[in-house]
Amino acid sequence: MSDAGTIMFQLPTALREFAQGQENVNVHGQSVGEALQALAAEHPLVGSRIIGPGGELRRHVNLFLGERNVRDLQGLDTRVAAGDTIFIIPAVAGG
Amino acid sequence: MSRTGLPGNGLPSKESPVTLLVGTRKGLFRIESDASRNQWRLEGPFLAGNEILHVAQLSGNPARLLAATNHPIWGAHLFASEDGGRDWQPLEAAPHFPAGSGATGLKAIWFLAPEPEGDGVYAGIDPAGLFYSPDAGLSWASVNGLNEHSTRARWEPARGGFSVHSIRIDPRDKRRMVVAVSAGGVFRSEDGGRVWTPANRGVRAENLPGKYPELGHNVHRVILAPSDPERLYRQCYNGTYRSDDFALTWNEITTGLPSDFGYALAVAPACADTLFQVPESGSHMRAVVDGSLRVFKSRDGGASWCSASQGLPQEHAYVSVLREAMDTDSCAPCGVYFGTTSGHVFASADAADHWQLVSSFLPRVLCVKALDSRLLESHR
Repeated sequence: MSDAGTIMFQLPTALREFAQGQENVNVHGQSVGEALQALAAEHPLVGSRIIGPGGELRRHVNLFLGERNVRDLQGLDTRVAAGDTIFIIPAVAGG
Repeated sequence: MSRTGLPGNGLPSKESPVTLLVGTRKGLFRIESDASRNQWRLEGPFLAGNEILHVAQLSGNPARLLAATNHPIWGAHLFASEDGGRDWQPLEAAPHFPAGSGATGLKAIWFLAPEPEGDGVYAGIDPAGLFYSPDAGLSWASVNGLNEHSTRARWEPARGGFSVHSIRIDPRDKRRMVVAVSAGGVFRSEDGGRVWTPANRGVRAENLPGKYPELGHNVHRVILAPSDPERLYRQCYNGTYRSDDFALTWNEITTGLPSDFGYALAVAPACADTLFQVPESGSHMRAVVDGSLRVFKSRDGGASWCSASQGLPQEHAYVSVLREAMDTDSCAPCGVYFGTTSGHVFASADAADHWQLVSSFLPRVLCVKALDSRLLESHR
């Protein structure tokens, strides 16, 4: 569980080298998009691998809020609450 | 670098260990020779899992390398190395169009071209764009003179993507440049990239209605002869060409080659008349002609060609050599190197007269760059 008042990102192995080896990063935000912005501000090399230069969620990167893909919710506008965990998971279609 | 573009006094060194940086679909390999260029040792993969589309060596600090990478999930990024290509650090910035502009996204960084001196670097990207970094890749700005060119609506994607590549800079005057757009043709600037003019006079384009259109050509590769920077060569969708006036006009030099299609093209750094090409059977098959892996060599600027293929497989070889997958070194005689789509790397220490296989069964080879090993070490 994340600390109260925070959203926790769980990073896949491939991205941990861009976050000083951390598996989990705690940020603040009220939506998935805000949380991602906070993650990118703290770890820009992670952010640029999740969000493309046009500001879009990369096609083969999935974000799961609990067990639900945020693409099936409201995308980056999906609301998050303190204690939520967002899993960053590469799609199998990517390679 | 000397004004001829050759290291030191402009004359080729007779013997030197060479380091090949071989970019593949699954990472970068270093293949280093002894001084005779007969014994080779492979290290890697570095940047494992990434496609390595291009590697560049900065003029101001030859030990500093930049690599253009792509990953099917995590996208296109730049990495920098300070130790000759073993340890790589990711760069935060990458060349791309701003969000919300007509051409957004960054599909790939195809080409990196350091200026002849200092830390300036140009990058060619997909979607077709030219960008400039004054600080060795730490920041990037659009070269709007090309990216907003009045002819842009007439450019179109080629089969391999929609990219700017083959950025060639006059080593005597960095304001003079040519670039290739696939497919849009070659463009030329004399003023550091503010004004660009199409530079395709004399070049066929059978993908277009007119035989010699002003632009729209599918350019596969353009190279510049360091010993005579007015001399350029280009391999197009239709034919191989030579220019003696920095791309103002072109003359076809395909006669003597077994086809008018191919990607790989390289010139000897010390001799503008000596060049090497790997013809392919055409746009349908995209493999070497007749299953025979042949390098064609010219000693007279393309007026005549001969096969220089001793040591290369001459039957049942259905491979391709991609546009950045062939290079030459600055030794005498000139070393020539290439990698295939089957993951084989070949080397010649005598200007293509004899070849040896120096590595096999690597991932698909995307680029090969030959570096003077001593130059890499001396600047560390």
